[in-house]
Amino acid sequence: MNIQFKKGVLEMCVLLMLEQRDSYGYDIANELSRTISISDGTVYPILRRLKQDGYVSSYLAESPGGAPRKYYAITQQGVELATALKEEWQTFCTQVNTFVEQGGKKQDVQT
Amino acid sequence: MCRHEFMAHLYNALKNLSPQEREDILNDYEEHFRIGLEMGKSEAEIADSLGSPEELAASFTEDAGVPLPKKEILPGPEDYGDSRRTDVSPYDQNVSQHADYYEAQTGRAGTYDSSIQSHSECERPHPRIGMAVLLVCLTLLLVIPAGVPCFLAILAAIIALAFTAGWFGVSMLVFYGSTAAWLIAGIALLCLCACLALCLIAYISGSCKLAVRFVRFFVRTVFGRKGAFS
Repeated sequence: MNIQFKKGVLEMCVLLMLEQRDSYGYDIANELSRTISISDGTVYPILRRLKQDGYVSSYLAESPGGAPRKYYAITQQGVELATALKEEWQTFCTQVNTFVEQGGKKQDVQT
Repeated sequence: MCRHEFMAHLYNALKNLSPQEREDILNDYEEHFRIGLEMGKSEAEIADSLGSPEELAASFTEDAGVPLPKKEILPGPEDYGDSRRTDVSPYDQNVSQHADYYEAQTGRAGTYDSSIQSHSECERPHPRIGMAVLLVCLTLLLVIPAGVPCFLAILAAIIALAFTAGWFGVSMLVFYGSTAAWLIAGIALLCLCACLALCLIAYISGSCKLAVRFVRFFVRTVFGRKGAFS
């Protein structure tokens, strides 16, 4: 898949995850890579960019294991971006699906 | 790849970022390893699932808007020694052969980069300036003293011919128009006059286009497309 495209989609996924609850890098990476085939390390550049742009914030919190973990929380700006991206994604999917369905029909006729 | 190897690669690949940023990023990956180990995974497993440190570093530097190898311009072997002494990295010492590999690589990239720079900074303006001087001389010595009179002379010749043809044509029709031979000659001359008029228009428009193209070329070469002298 196109890297830029994938990056944009992953950004949206991370925001949507953080909309549910605050989370730390490892957890986000783990959950994302379970459903989407990406390497775990990819989430850190994304988180960093989102933080730089003010869509998420971070804080340190104690973990049961010992050392504190860096938790990420979505900001109001991030919630707005997530909503916008989600809408954009859904429109895009609908548009692409018309082509996918058309393509399927044509093949049926030919065979 | 074990934890230290991964971190050493990442550390080296992130050299273009500020120490603060690099430290921040490395901390994030350290935390990832720590949690992974707590979950009972091996270092190699975690490193594998993280992906290539170079690719990861590339997406960080991309985001920061830093072009990859730029900071180091032709670092000599002594520079490496110095930077290693000042830049205290726990990764370099542990996996020195990997660090060396990356320094060698960035060093090569740096050489390549500086050779590009010398092309763009030193060599490019010279032909530009040479071209500009040549063009100015050419314009002053040839285009203005020879080209302009040539243009005017040809213009005058066409106008004169057209006028002559028109005048004779009209006078033949007016004075001898009753005879068929004179009538035909007069009409032919008028046609010739019309043709010459068309030629005149074509000549003027062609010359104008040529002049505009020359002026554009002149300006572009002398002043540069994006301002060579700015």
